Amino acid sequence: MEGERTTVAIQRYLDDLSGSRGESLAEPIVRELLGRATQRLHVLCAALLRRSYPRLTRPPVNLQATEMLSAVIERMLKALREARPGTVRQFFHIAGQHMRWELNDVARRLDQGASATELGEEVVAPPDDTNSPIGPDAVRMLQAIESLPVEEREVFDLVRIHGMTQPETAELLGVSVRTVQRRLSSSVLLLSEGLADLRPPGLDPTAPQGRSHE
Amino acid sequence: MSDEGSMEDGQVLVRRLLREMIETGRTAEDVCRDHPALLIDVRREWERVRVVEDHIEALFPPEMRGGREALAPEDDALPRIPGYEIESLLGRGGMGVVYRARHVSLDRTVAIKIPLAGALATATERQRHRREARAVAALKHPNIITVYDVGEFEGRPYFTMEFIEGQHLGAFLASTPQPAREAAALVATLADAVHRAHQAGIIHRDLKPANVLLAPDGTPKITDFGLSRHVGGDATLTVSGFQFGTPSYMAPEQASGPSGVQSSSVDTYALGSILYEMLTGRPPFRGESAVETVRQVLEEEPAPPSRLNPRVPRDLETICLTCLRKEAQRRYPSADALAQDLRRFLGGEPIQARPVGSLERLYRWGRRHPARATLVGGGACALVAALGVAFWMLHIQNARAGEVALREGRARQAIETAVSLANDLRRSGRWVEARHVLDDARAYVTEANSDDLARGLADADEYLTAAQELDEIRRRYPDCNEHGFDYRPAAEAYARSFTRLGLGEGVPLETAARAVDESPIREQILIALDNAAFVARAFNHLSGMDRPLAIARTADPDPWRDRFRQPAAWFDRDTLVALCDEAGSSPRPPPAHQIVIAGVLLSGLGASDKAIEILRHAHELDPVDFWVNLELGNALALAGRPADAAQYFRAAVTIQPQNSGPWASLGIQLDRIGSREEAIVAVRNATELNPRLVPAWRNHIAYLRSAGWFDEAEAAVSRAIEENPAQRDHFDQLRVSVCWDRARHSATSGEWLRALNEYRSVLPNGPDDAEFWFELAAVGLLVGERDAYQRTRDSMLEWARPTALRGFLVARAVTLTPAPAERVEAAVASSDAELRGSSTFWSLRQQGALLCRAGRHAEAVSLFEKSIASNPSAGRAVLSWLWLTIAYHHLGRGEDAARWHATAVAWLDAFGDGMPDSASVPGLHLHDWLEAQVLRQEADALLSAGKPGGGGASR
Repeated sequence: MEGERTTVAIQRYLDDLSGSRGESLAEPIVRELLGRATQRLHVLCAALLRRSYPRLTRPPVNLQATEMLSAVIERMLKALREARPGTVRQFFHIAGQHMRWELNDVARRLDQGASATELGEEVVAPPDDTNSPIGPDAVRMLQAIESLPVEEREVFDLVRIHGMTQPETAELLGVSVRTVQRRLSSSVLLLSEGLADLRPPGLDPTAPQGRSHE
Repeated sequence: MSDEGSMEDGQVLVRRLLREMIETGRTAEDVCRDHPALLIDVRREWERVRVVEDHIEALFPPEMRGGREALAPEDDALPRIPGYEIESLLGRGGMGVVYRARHVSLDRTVAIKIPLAGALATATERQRHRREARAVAALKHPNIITVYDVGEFEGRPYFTMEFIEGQHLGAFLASTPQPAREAAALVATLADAVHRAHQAGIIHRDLKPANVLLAPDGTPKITDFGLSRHVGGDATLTVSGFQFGTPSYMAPEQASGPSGVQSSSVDTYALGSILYEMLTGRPPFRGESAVETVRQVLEEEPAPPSRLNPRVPRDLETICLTCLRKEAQRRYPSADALAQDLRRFLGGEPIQARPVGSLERLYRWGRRHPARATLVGGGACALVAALGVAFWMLHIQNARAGEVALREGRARQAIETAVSLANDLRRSGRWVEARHVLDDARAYVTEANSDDLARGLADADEYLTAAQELDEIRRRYPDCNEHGFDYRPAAEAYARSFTRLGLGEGVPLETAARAVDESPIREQILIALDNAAFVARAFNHLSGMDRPLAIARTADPDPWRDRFRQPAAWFDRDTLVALCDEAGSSPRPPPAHQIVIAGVLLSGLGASDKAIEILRHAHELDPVDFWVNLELGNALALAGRPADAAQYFRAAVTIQPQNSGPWASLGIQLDRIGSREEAIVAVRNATELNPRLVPAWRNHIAYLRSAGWFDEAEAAVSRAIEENPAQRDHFDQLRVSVCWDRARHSATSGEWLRALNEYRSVLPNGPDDAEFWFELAAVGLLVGERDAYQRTRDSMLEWARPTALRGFLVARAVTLTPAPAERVEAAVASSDAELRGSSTFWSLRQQGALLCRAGRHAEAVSLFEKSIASNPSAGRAVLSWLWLTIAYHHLGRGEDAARWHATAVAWLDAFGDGMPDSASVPGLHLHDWLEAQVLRQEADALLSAGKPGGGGASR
């Protein structure tokens, strides 16, 4: 398998942390954590670009994730360095939030780019052959995540934004895997209630709305 | 309360069931077993959850390395499947979990694979999976793992297959290159097996070393045949694309996404990847991340195997690279063809595949064909792609060479190509593409390290902006205001652009002309100069024509064009006609925009035939030119040929659907030819695209009105006011008309009560029109609201003088029923000027009516008779008939009264409740019809009372 298991890596961070307790995070650990977050953000940006805005990746725009990313990553790194999280959990919390913000920013700019392209192609718009269910909805999704309750959002961030497995997440939070699953499914339900209109066309729009989470 | 409570409980329950589905992967049917009533709700909500899950999956793909738990419980306990004894967990893969098990009755060791819970979520998917897994089970080949059984337990599908005690090829290779002949032999064996499957219609789609198991005796066996496609059909996968497995062995057409038909050649590609890895110890593409790998698969050429392992024979390298070609049709036509070529290699025969040296060749191709050469032949798109190729090459070369000088040279070349291409794109008006080309090239400025090139790029950018601006002005004029069209803003915009381009008012003519001639956007400026003159002429700013035309003449001398660019010619029909006649024989044919200008001018000067002729000619040359279509439509419209005009406006809106102008024009033509509903759609488009287009709003409202869609018309009025608050008064009047129309429509069909309410809805700002007030008064009486009628009547008398309501109608409103003497006298006074001395039938009749209401019945009778004599047609005379009925009744001449009554009633009853239209009874107005209904009620009552009365007027 490529790379070591995430749990092991985190365990090592945790061990290193306990060794340097009382001080701020040691620089090599920070670097390692940042590297991890950066790599993950790269994956997410590329997914956002390729799946939601495939037209921008083709001529004439030819936008590449790497081009888009350098500034984004730089900003996130700066924010994380300044925040100096004291614990791994704190680190993931701040990083997750910043990653979502950066994605939101990227999605916004892509939306503008996409509509600019469409304007220019108004006479003969190329057929959209992507079947992509998202598009500008990415921004709305990110906003909906932002408004999840704290516990759900933390689990969502760890699993979906940071790409951790459920056992890793459980370990980091000190809860059971079952709890992680419950919070995840609850966040999916809350998101599906908040984003009811994302549904594909043809479904009954008068379907009862689920109640909000209070 | 209890109802609400149980509804809430229902929702809580639905939510719990949904949660159960997410967490356990069970189906809706399954979780609803105890709550069958909720199944429909749960299914519907589940759809929504799935949509959101798809979105989440697409935006936040799981990490590649950790595998995916698919929100399924981490189940360490071995599953229990009837008939099998599960012995141990063999592994978890992207697609599911594999166990080693024993088939109890057959006493055979098997592998059991259980796909991930999320992978086959719906019953349909599972059914499809089962069906196709059975097809694979039917496939028997020594090099394909046999599938024994397909089944389902606890709602989850599983299948059992041949158990191989050994390792998979990936583990066996362990990144070590294999001897060439062994690699060729093994891949040939695999290709045979794959070919057999293809013949059975089964494509593997996920061939990779990890899917090739090696039996202890070394026999390779392909596993997971035909199974990835089922998983591939699941939304979570298709959305995130490369979630399962590594994209290193994936064909570009697979890696680029779920769309498109994937043929069996994806397997040929994968076999090439396996061969590549066997020869070199690594897959052809392997990026830092899966996304990077996908990018490489799509964009980069694999490094020739011999570069990584010099011992790879040339022919085997050729075979391998043939499999890995980006375009499916350039690979081996079948797995069998690959197997045969491999055997030729093994047998020392010449192989059939030909080396291409694709990288080198592409690069040379890019250098040999500069951008412009291809543009002439092939169109800009191909060029943009070619430029993209050049950029990739640059990228690849950079990565490998790393020499500053080389990089610099290539970066310079990239910028030069981009500038030249952008200029070509600009000339054909493809602004967006040109912009992107320049933006891409900017990335190379630093590397190119050349001030000249940086400046060149900046210049190209500036020219592009200027040209685009000029085009934009043309696209936007004329603006619209309440009077129609306004060319002034366009004239001002041109003036600003010209100043920026160094052609401003203060610049000497010669200097300006030289600036135009030397400008890289010369053609666009010339078009703009001619159009600026045209705009100036359009609002009669004659001196504004001189300078742009003079600059154009000096910069672009040509006998025909010089004559065309004389301001005087633009006012002279004969000169223009002559110019048009000569245009065809001019050595340089005039550009389209000049023909368009000439056509518009001629059409405005009354020479519409000539205008249509030359615009038609221009249309033949370029049938998709927006301006030609638009102006040809305008010329035809002006010539009174709406059907033909509509045709060209239709073309214009197709070419530029975002332009509101032609939509508005199309609407007018469609209305003229009677396509009312289409006309409404067209003008609505116009108002939606440009809500400030007041004339289009007017038409929109008018068409809705005449179609009888009053509510829609009223809504349109409200929107028009919202968008154009300055026009509120104007549109408020339109609203009055719309509401009045609606009321009249109801009155015409005899729906009095409804009509009364609708008349009242026009108040308090009812029109200063006596007809309106008369109709309101009459409808009030017909509904039986006497008080309301009297208020209206008295108001009319009061307003008659200051607002100049028509006296005739005021008097008629008063005589609708017997009225107090002073009211009758006031009515006489207000109508005196209009009625006295006039001997038209309506004047005689109303004079009679006033006498009648004053109790002078005998005098009245003679006036009614005179009125009938002067116009005896029934539609005109019916009111006099009714008045005679009333007058004779009061005179005690019952027989005469009955005779006239019968005549009037017979005629009126012929039409039922509705007013006859103007075609069947010419000259009948709504006010006549309403008065007839009122008088008839009175006459009916008098006659049924029977007794000829004395004074009719109530005092």
